[in-house]
Amino acid sequence: MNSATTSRGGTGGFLAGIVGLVITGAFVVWQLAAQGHAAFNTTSLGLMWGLPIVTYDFLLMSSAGLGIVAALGTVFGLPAFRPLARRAVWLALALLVGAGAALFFELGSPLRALWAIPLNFQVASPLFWKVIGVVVYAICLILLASGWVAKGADAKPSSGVSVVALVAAVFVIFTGSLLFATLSMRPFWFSGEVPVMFLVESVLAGLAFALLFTHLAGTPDEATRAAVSGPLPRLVALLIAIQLAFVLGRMVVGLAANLDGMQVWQTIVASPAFWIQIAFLAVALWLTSSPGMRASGSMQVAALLLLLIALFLGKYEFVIGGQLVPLFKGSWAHGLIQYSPSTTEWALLAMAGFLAYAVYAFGAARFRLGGAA
Amino acid sequence: MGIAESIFKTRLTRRRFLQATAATGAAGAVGSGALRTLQPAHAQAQPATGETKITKSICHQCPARCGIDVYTTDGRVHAIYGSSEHPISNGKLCPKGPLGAYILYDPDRFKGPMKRTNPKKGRNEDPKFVPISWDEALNTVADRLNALREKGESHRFALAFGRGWGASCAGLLGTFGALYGSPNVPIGHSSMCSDGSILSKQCTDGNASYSAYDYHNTNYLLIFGASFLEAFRPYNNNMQVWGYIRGEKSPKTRVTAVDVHMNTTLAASDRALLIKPGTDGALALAIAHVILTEGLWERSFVGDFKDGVNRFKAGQTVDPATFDEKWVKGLVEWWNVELKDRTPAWAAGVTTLFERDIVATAREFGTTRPAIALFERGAHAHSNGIFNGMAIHTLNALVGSLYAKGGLMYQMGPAYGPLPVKDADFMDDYAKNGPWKKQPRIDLKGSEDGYLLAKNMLQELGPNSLAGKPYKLDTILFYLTNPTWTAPNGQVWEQAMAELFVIDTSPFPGESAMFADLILPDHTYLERLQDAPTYPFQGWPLAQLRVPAVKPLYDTKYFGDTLIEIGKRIKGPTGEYYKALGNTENVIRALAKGFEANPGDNGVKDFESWKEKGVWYRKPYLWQQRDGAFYEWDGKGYGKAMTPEEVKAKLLKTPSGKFEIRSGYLEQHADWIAAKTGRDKAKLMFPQWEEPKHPGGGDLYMSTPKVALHAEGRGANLPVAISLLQPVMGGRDTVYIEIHPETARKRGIADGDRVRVKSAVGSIEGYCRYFEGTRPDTIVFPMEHGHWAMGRWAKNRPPGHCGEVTVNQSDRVTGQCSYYTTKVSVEKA
Amino acid sequence: MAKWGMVIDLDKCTGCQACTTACAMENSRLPGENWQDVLFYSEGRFPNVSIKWFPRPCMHCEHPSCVSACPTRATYKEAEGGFVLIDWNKCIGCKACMVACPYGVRFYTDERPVVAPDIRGVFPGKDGRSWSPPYRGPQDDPSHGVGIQPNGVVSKCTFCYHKVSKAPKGVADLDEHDPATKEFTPACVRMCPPKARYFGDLDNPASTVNKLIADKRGTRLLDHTGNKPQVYYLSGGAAAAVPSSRETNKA
Repeated sequence: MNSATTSRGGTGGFLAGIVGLVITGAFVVWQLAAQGHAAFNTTSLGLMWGLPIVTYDFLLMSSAGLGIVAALGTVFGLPAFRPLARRAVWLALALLVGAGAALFFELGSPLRALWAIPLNFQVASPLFWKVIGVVVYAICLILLASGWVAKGADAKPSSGVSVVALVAAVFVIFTGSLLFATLSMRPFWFSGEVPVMFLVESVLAGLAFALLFTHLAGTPDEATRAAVSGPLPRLVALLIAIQLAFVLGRMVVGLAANLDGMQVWQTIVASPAFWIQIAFLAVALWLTSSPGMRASGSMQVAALLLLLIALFLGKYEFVIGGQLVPLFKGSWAHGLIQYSPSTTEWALLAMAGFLAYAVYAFGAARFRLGGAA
Repeated sequence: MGIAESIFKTRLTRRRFLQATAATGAAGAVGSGALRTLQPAHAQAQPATGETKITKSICHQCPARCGIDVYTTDGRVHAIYGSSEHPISNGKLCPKGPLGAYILYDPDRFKGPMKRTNPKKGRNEDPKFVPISWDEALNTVADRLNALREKGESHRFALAFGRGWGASCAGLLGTFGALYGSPNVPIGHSSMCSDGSILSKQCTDGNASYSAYDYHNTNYLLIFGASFLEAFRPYNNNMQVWGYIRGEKSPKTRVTAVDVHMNTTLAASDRALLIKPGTDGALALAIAHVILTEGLWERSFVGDFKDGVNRFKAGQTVDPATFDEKWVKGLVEWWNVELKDRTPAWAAGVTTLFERDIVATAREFGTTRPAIALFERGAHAHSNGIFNGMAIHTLNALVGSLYAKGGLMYQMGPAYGPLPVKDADFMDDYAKNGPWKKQPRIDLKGSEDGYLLAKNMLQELGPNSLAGKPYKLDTILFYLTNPTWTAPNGQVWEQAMAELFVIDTSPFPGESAMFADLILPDHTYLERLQDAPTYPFQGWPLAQLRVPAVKPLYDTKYFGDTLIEIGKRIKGPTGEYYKALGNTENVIRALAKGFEANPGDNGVKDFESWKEKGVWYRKPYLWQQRDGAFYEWDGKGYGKAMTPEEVKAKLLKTPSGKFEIRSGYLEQHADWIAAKTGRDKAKLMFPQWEEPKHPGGGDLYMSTPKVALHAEGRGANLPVAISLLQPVMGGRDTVYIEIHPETARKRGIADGDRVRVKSAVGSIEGYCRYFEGTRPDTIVFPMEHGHWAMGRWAKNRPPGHCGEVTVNQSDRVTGQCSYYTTKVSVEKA
Repeated sequence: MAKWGMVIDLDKCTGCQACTTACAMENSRLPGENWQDVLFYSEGRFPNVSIKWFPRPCMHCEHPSCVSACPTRATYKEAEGGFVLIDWNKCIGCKACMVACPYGVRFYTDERPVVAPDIRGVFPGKDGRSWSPPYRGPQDDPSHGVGIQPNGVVSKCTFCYHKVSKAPKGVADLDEHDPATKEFTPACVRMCPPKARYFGDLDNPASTVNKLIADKRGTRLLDHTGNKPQVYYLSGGAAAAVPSSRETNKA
């Protein structure tokens, strides 16, 4: 066990996370208590899912992606992934907690959701299956965390749990994409490639999170150093290339399509956020594919940060973009729906981030997250 | 360290976290806190305990007087539907009808009588009203009126009223004026409504009234202004008619609609004509020109050339001797002095319409019988209003629609019984010969110095009193009117009201109430027992009754009773009269006595049955014109032929007993009209084209129509009405100023910008929307917002009030306030 | 079992919004929360401009996409009558049904008021309801989405379930002019001044709604999404029409 692995980003990070969590959380709770969801800039006029859902979806899909990354080491035994596996499992848990928190404050009746979803067996709903998947996934992560990560350097992951976690992660990503992909009245989302895109995005985000925090943890052992400067950045580069193909492909199709609902793409292409996303992906692609850059830890950290920001922007553009064309609102909605997140929504994003970070830092401080699986 | 242990060490348990947030939620319970849902609140069904009661009443949101069924459960009004048995509503209501409960439970209502304690008056002065008893309030009024009378200055008391309803409220006012002794009791608001239409009819067919229409049987509607599918009374019934004539009737009625911007009426019609403001008369003249040159007039009504050869040729005069006029007077003279030059090409130049559309409209109107030409404010709210109105109404004569099946007629009054007390028995010497008899009305209605032919001139009251011409008022009482806000250039009214002792009887705060010294709040309509004869509808008589659905929520008093109570406190025989009259229920019971001899078709024959059914009516309408002959109802059909004398006495009440294109009424006052308007004395009695005068100094016309959700006097403070007020523009919490994109761009105004609208008298601000349906030379926005009192939702809601930029200009003949004629300038704010 | 359906004759509709205010009154809706809305569109250039309007209740689809979006069965299709309803005691406020509705008919409770100040602050709610106006209707049935909703749930047009579900069994049409069915007719249908709305049993071949759909070629909105509304629109009455089918792909 490398003591440095646990100290950096450990207790200090945990405390920082808690402080951030308390400040942002208090603000969110105060706003919601005073105004309810009127504190959000979402409206029944058409923008029903705003930044909190983007936050939730990004964190949940990234968590599932981390589960897959971990499984590549634990289930498939790919050597390059083994040094990341413990950290990926704990990060997955941390992001899952963050995702849950974001959703908790977004739902109208979050406590009711705890029983109403599992007990009503709405098997026709992708969201029902998604929640089942998330529950199974969460249980697997807890089992892996308590039975493996928390047990010290010599512990081995249960292969059964690892396999179930992998299946659950893929299932969560798949069902999570379905609600969007099946809505024929929203052509921006209604597409067969969406589940595949979600899968690529999630694995890329998971890999980016795992690599980023491995870099940030510092002084890795040889196996880790080899993995994070060799095959893994190359895989990241490959996935970025695929992701870019998805983004640009969807853009070209969107701009060329006649269908009402696709005009959103003109708005998206006109927004700086879209080009920031492309630029960040491109820079991250260069930094991860250039052998020289791969050798530099700080360049890799920069690349991964840019990549994660780009992926978040992409998630935002996807979730919000599908809602910008108001469905049957007539003149009540003038043109496309105008949306920008409220302060409370931004605070909720920060709160979920701080919470996830605090959970991660807690693990980083107490458990050995580096080293081979 | 195990994971469970690690987590417990942090002490951030989910359980505690939830307790904490739940407590915060409860603490901040003012909002609709989402976090309160963390407390597992299972909503239980709570079935109502009481019986649902249905009370008959009538709506209050426009003049139409639709019968309503008011649903009350556990003492709360929760629904209002049209009465199925009511001939106007037929179970239906317009969008305003369901708003009634919001008015009843308006949280901004006055809760009882109050007096002002802040002597300073102004927009930003809080009146500091304090509650007083009804006795103190009524005595205060009576003391003031008695003192005026003792000084011989009773004319300095004015009572202005708006939407009067029946004999038990507005109907009492004239008697009060006669007994107390003031020419200014009452002053109606008709000049700020649509007197231009009433005078146009009076000048041509002798009936000083709005028309009743037989829409069900008409095959053509030519609508000028009026907003038939937004605001024209009876709106609810108009739409029922529309569904029938456009969706079921065979043949389908064709419709051409004329307005200055695209609205739902124009959109639902077969042809929309977006005309230049103030030029409707030019279009009507051109239509008449085509009807004559193409020989499309109804010969059985109008008459014909003796030899049957049409001599009407553009630009050529005709020898009057060659034409035999039947029921019209002055047709050929009109042609010679005016119409021969009013070609469609000429009208196209004036109106900016396409010549082809004018010709097509004229041919359709001239060849489709029966046809109705209908107009209201918009067409005649200009300096040339009398001519516009006469020209349009003459189209009805040309196609023989007067009193015809599928045409138009006039409304009969109800068979009310006489009041139990005769006012003539209570006239003292002051009432008969007091100094007030020599005083002109404050608004100079009927005065050579003012508006000799007008019916009312309420818009002049404020300015005249302020100027002391003819004198200054002392005390003014308002009933259902708020001219401090609704009058054009109401800023002048604010100065005028600051000088006067003001009494408001509205149940609600309003701009006039903010200048009031006394508030004597009326019941809201669902709390009233109140009669109301119908507005012009289908001719046959109809009278409705409001029956209270709930006991008054607050310490309020029906205005009719307030007036009677004031009357009782006037010294001398006046007080005796009102003591004998008692209260409004006595009045209404006396009215209902008239039904004994004339039971309604629905069996209503007395007060009790009237209350139960809510309406008394007696079909049929008694007269009909068929193929140029007039008939009276003989019990089975329109079989009794009428003599010309009978027609003159009952139907065409002009000096000649004919439809007068050459108006005898105007001719009688030709000297005065010529002196005041500079018109040619030889010609001013004919419908003619006259360029309207547009004051204000701007370069854009401004039109401020009434819309469907304008719940009279109250729409601006009803959140549901506000949210639906301007659906075409999408105004959900504001009203947008419609502006043509080119017009806006030329002024550097972007879609949605805040703009300033200015005229010679003021300036307001609001948000604009680009709209291709508005004329490039015109801006349009509904008259609704810009209140500075009126309640929490109305206050300061943009845009500013159009009245503040509207110049007070009236048609000198009709007295019609020209609301839509001011020109304004628009700039980015 | 009845399958209730609505027919809206667009040739008669005057765009007056009486349906909207009637619904707001009957169902105690918040300002701007138009369960029954009339949507306005305009196009063209001066002087030839058109305004179009489109009255839009919930379509009560035969294959509702909202039902399969809801993870808790809070949104459900009632077998008797074919109403699409919301059980407020199951709704978690995730808004997936709002996203999944092609017709934009759903409303979330906790939002900024369309018209400020918030009327919910004037008439604060009790018993877990989002507000409590004095003019609220006596009907209250949260498991069918009837009455005043609690905080944190989604609401929508119920086809006036509280009226229609009490209609005499076996009637073909709920007509506001028939004293026997007037009180069971949905508020928007009952109020509609030009009588552009009809309500009846789509499973009863003799019903007026079926006659109108046949004679005037009733069409359904966005047939291609497969939702298959139980609301039909009549327009023009000409046989030449936008193709759409009453057949349902998913039987």
